[in-house]
Amino acid sequence: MNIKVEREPARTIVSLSGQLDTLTAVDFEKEVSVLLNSDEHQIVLNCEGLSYVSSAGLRLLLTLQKGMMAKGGTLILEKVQSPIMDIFKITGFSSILTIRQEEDLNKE
Amino acid sequence: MITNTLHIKNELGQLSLVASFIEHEIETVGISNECSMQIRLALEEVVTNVILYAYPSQSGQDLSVNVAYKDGKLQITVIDTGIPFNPMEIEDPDLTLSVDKRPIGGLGIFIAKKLMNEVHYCRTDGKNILTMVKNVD
Repeated sequence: MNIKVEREPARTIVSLSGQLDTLTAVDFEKEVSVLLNSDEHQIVLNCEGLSYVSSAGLRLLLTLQKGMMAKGGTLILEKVQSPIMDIFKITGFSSILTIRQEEDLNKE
Repeated sequence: MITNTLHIKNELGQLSLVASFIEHEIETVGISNECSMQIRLALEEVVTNVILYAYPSQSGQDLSVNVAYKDGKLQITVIDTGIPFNPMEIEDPDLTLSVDKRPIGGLGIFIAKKLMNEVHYCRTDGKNILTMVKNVD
């Protein structure tokens, strides 16, 4: 699991690649905590390279979503691959997270 | 019929053994990518649950994962000797709640139930026996 963080003036882009499971969630948890404790107000989570997510990862995505809302910020997920999207659909996360897919980007 | 068993201890670090074990079994049977991720995920959720909750404050306890394949069905059995726990009795999460009302957590077992075609539980001889079946054809 790799986490890459790029801080731009208006937003922070976090790229996740590999597998977000019970073990690697520990690393992502640290990053989530840093993001929530900073003054970042717009976070884009690039999921292009993410191939696996377990409930430990979902727990952190929900924590991040709730935390960003609490400070009046936004969290946008991008480029979610279909196996991950299936897990989001099964768990209802597809309706509580803001997910912007390639086809949406093309419309802009 | 292929059958193989992995014995591990109730430590989260052992999840990597579970992952490589199931990957090897999936490869041996020749299961498609999407299906294999679902099987791995269901197993991770169930085993994580056993590791975290079956043996409160006891380390070095045993659990086993058995995988059997026959006629297009992959059957996974997870056995522990911890406190009785029937995952089938856990209520499914309310997926209609808004983001601020959704509780953090409580999704693992639900995911496993959704991804596998069958999940059964029984308590026999002081053991929790959870059997999951995935149709892989």
